Amino acid sequence: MTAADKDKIWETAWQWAQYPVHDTPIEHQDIQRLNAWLNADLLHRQAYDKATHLWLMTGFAPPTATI
Amino acid sequence: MKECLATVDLAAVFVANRQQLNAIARKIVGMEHIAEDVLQDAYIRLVKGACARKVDKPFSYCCQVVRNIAIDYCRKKKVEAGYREFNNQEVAITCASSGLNIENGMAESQLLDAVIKVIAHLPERTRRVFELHRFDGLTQRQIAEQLGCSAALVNIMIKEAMATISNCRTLYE
Repeated sequence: MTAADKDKIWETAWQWAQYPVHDTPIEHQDIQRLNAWLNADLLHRQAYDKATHLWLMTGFAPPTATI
Repeated sequence: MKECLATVDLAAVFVANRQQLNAIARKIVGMEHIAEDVLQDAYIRLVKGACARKVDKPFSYCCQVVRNIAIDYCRKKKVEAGYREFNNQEVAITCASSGLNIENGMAESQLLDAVIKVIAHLPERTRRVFELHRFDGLTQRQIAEQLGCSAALVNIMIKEAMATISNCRTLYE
């Protein structure tokens, strides 16, 4: 596993973290693709857990705009 | 002292508006008992967890935290369902080995501090676009109209913001 491989896994996980999974029917092919990707490798799952948590953190940041 | 007051403030606002917050959660997760789990989770985070912080608009912040936790619950439920079907055995192992300990309010609080800092350091316009996109849920076209620029530029700025925030991955290692 090279650093580039790790970067690629993170990048995919980060893209999935931004995907509106909550708003997509479970039978949608994208959800199936996501599950297939998560099941393909433990490292995918670990990266996804971190990416979705980071995404949640961006949702907890209080807005800085004063308007 | 200030932070203590802010926490009390958030707790009081949360309790006073519990019904409205429940409605927000319920609209997203569907079922009442899950909405209650979401509210419980949000309350703990707002009172003694990562979200216990001084904010300008306590009610609006309570809504934001509830909404985001509800969305996260929904995502987990949907993905876990498919994941368990395939690989029942490994769920516990992977969760345990992901290195995430979000039960630990202190660790999550530090993560959030770092993310807030990264967002604050985005170029002014990029940050504004990011916030309209992430917090207000505006479409790229709506953001473009509001800021008087092209949708293509908005798209680029959102990607820039996401790429910058993506660097926070090092915090998890």
